[in-house]
Amino acid sequence: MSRFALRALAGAIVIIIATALQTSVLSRLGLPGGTPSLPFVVVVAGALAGGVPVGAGLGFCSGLLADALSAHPLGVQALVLLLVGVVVGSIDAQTERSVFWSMVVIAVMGIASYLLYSVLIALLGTSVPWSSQLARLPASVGYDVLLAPFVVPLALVLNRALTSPADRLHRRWDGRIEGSVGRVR
Amino acid sequence: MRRSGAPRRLGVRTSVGRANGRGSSRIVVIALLLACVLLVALDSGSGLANLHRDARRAFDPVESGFASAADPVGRFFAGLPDVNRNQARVEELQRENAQLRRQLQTAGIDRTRSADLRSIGALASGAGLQVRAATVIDYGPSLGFEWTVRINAGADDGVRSGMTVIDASGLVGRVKETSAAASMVVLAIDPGSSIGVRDGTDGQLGLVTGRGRGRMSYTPLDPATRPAAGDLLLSGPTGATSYTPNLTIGTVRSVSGAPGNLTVSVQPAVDFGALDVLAVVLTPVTGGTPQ
Repeated sequence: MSRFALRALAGAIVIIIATALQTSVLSRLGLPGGTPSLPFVVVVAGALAGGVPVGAGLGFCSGLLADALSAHPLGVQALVLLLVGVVVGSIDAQTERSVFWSMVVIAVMGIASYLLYSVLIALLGTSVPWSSQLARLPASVGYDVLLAPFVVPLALVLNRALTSPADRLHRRWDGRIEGSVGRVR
Repeated sequence: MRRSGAPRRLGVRTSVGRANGRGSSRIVVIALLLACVLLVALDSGSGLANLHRDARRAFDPVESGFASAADPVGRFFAGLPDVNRNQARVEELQRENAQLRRQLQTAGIDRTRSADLRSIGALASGAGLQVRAATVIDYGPSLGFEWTVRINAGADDGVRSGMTVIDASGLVGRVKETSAAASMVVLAIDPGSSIGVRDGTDGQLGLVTGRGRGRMSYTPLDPATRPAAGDLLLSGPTGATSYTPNLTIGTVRSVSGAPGNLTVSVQPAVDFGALDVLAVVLTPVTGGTPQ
């Protein structure tokens, strides 16, 4: 249980750092065309490294924190990032986790989550400025993709450091399944 | 994450455990999804407004800590979109600077030019001549064999071949050929150029011939006369020359040789090495000029 507590603590710290970096730095850069979302990239990276449990946990918690810090109802971002974590965690076992692959995943999931978030916000009664919202999508997702080479390797290293030796027997840190008892989905 | 950790560990231990892990992680995911929906529903009626406020309050110190640590980085990145604009601004200022420097350098030249223009104008109006001001575009390509310059006034400006060209100091030469907007001027120092002149001191008539590079020679018509150094030579009376009369040619510099075989060198009034602002005399020579 201590290892589990360690993982939970590490996850919490990662979420807080990512969110703080997002609100204090990335959102204020005023990058042209859009804004990257570090928490989203962290959730994808975590899901790629640790599968569904890590993806779902990171996604739900960081989404909840983002919700709490913003004006929209609690649960919207949490729902979106939870789904991102679950979907990415589910597909990861079938593929090698190269940085390029993670960039493709981030691009696809970035578009999907961006649209889902916009739709949810619109459903909840906020008027969404669709044209400008969609105009910011390509650049925002592009920045997310550019963050991947930095975040994903970190996530893999961190996940390996916090994984029990029993886990490691079956799952190399770079994501390849070893032996016959690998995670199969 | 907390809840999902345990099934994950279970899931890799045995195949049974993995099946349990898959099942429980699915349950966890479904629970979380329901939690999301529930939260949205609760919060939509502003029921959890305090939670937003408290979270914001708790997170502010963390955020400001990050912000102060990341501020220089942020400023650097925030400046990136302006890099091009700054670059453009720098180039603009450099251009402006170069232009100002050029103006400073050419201010003297411009003053000289306007003084030249004024004195040419004075000269022309004093002599009752109609002139067209022009600037030297380039010196003739065959400089050294044929002493010519090109000026930026041509047939469109009323310039015709044969017209006299002057500057503020005196006679420069004669238009040889014209195009629409430019003309070629054969300078008075060209070896092929001879000007009928009158010695302003003793009134004798003679001929000034070009000798190239800033030199001319004078030959009196009457071999018996002996001009003196310092004598002023003016372009000759109408009829004696095809040049506009009464323009300064130069002064006698030195006289040598026996009478009948005199060598008289002339100091040109015009500095042929520094021709710039010139004027073409449009008034026909045959029309005569009032003294």
